[in-house]
Amino acid sequence: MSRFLYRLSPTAIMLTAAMIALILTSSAVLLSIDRPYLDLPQGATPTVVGDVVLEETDLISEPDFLGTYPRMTAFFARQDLLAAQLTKPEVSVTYMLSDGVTETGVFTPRPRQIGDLPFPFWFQQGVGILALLVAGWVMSLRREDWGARMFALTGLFVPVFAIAASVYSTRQIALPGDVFKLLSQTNHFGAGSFGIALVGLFLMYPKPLFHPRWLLLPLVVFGTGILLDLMYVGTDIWLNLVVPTQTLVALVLGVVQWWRARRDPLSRAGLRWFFLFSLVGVSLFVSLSVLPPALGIADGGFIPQAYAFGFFNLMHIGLALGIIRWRVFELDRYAYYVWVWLAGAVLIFATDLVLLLWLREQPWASLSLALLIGGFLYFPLRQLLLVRLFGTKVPQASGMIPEVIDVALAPTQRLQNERWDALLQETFSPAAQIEVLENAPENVCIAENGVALLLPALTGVAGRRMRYASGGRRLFSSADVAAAATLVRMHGVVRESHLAYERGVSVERDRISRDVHDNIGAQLLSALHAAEGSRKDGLLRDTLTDLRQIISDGFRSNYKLSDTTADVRAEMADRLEVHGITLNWPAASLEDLSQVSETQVPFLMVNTLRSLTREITSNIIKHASATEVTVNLTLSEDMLRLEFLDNGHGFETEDVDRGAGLDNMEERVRTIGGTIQFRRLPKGMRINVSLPLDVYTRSEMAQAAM
Amino acid sequence: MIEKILIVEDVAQSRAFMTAILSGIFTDAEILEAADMRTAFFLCERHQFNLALVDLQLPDGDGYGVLRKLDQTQDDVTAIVTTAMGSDSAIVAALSAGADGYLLKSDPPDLIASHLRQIPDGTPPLSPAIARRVMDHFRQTGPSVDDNATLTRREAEVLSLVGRGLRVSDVAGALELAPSTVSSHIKSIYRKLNISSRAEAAYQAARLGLLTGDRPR
Repeated sequence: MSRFLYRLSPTAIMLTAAMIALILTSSAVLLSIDRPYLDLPQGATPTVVGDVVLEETDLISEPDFLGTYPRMTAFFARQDLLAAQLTKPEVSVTYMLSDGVTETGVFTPRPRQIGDLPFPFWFQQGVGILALLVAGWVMSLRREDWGARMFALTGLFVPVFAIAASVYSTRQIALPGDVFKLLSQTNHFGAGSFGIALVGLFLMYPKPLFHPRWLLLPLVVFGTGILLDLMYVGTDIWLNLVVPTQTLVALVLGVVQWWRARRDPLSRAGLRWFFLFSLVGVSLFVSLSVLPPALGIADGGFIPQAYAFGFFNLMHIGLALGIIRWRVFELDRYAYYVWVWLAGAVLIFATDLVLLLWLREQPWASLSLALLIGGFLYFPLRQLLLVRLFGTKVPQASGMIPEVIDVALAPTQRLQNERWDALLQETFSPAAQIEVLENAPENVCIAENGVALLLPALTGVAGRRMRYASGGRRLFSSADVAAAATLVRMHGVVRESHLAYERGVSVERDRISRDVHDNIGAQLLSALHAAEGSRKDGLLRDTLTDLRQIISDGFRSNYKLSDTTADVRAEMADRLEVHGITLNWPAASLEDLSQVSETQVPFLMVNTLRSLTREITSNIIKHASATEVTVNLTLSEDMLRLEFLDNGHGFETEDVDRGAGLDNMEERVRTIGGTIQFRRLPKGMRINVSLPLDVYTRSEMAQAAM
Repeated sequence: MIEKILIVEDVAQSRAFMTAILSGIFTDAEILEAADMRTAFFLCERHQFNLALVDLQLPDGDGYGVLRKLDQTQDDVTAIVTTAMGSDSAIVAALSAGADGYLLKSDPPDLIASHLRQIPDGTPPLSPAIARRVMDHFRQTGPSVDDNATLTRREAEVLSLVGRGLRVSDVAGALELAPSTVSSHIKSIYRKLNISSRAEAAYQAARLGLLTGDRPR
């Protein structure tokens, strides 16, 4: 039974419950109709039927009120006698009208129609159907929970006793004795079993008081009672002992559960609600319908049994309200969607039925037209509705890449969690609120036999439990596991590459701060300590240019050497031109450079090259009185060589004020491991600079040394 | 003839520095100063300028706003953006947004003066770094639907040579053109940069910080 249930989705279980209800009610209707029926006047109570004078007890609705098995057996015999009278073609009946007048008439029995069934008959069907559907509902959503299972069992047995009773309690005069006895026994079986389930319910809900195997105890004890009852052992009706005992035991267990739940306010609040309705319902039934005749206070119940059965539905109404308010059985509002779904399904089939009945009435000409309309309009529409109701989309992870990226790159953890839930909701449409799972599994896995899907924790996101795939219309399958695993993996990949990127950013940041420290800082310090005003300006200008370059080029680690020489050349030419000095920096050497234009140099090299050229240019403008400057640039595998030649009057290095910048130039060149030589020519000055291409920053060298 | 000059610059020392240079070159011109965008707007509403130097970073806005205001209010103005720390891409964005030239405030004063002196001749300055950035800009925007916004082969050559460090006279020599022809090519490049259909987008992108340094390698 449970194995079979496990393979059904919640809505399939619900539909099964609806089918059982339909079968039970149909059986009740089929057992009630087509029996001999007399068209007695309204409110007439028969006193003589054919040859038989009626006794007071012949018309009672519930033989249990007779109290003993012998009296019941006698009752069934008299029912048989009466039923035989009704099979004759004509029956003379003496009856008393509601105003006390007695009349006699001859009646022709006719088969009982559905329309002849009185209201109490339908009322009891309603009680049974409602109980069954609520049972199916709870079972479909909480099939793992022993309390829910017991509750579902109570719901299963309500229709058994109520629908059996509905047939005999609403008979017109009599049923054949054997049929009556069978129905009565069915009623007893249902009522006794209901009681066992009720005791089981309070043993298990909200927390199991004992291991579920102890449920066998009430089953055996009360089961024996029911068996004795079914076999009519002894005199007094066993069931009249069994049912009140069960009610009492359930009450006691309820009190124990109540006491145990004292530290759990929410559970207790839900419990109070549920107890109130279940126990009040059952107690009302027992005290108003079972006890009075059993104790001999009255001949029958205080209210007709047919209506007293309605008390049992209090349990179901209470449960429905309890779920909304207190999450009884840990169900939440989502549980109601199952009802919406069931209503939709029932509506479609009801429409089918109405259409079918209507078609039967149609003459041939309009029948073909109707079929045409049906074929083109109704069936496509119906199919669409069915697909919407029953159809489930296969989860697809592949289309979710943007959403996964959104999750992985969410700026805050809260947002990451929200987006992950939204993504799961969109992909799997679980009916229940997605739960955070503390002890999440390592991998995606199915739990509760397909009701739930468990997801592992991701970086920054805890595990998740989803319940009731596609709004409860299906169970989780291997396709879901695959889709979820893909989502998890995609998230991992995005997250990982993002982290790698962030690590890269942090490495870059370190490099930038080193650049700023080594270059900008050192230059500003030199400017601060430079004595001469114009040198100060020059150093500050260099610093600004470096800063601008760093900003402009987005803090790159390497620069194209050819770009740097291009910038240096243009600036030098512009400045010399202002003072009427020609720069002779052959474009050919630039072309040579472009052959190795892929040569990359670090920022420190760019910075050194530019400040050297600036310093040399400034010196020529200020001191050399030159008219022409020539620059030769050569590149070997590991060295950049620059030669600056001017045709001014030149100088001896020892004659120059060392503070004027030569020291600074030497210092800069030495820092990157290069050399600089000044040589006075007969006419002018030659400066040779050699710079190694693999330049390390000071910090890098310091790090390497450590 | 430069008669009226607008300087929009928030750093007072820089303003004085620029005013000194300008009054040395354009001796008869009247120079009006604005320290922020609001003042600049106010002055634009009441005066017609021949030359405007606009700092890219202003306390109450950016130079782009002033450039737009100049475009709306002035009949014939040469708008030059000035910057100390502005990135190459910010400068190219400013040129796309209608600036006629740019000045680096960190350049030596003699260089700044020489650039300013060339303004009446109409040869806008173009450094190798900016030329390379402009090349990238046209390469990234791709073939334009508007032929007016696509560089000719000659213009592309000029741009490429300037980007490799050649000056107008060098370019003229290398391409066997008159220096004035090279100048007019450069002016044309500026104009196309301005009308390039994607210039607006680039300017927006630079403003939003999307066009950062990485050049395609």
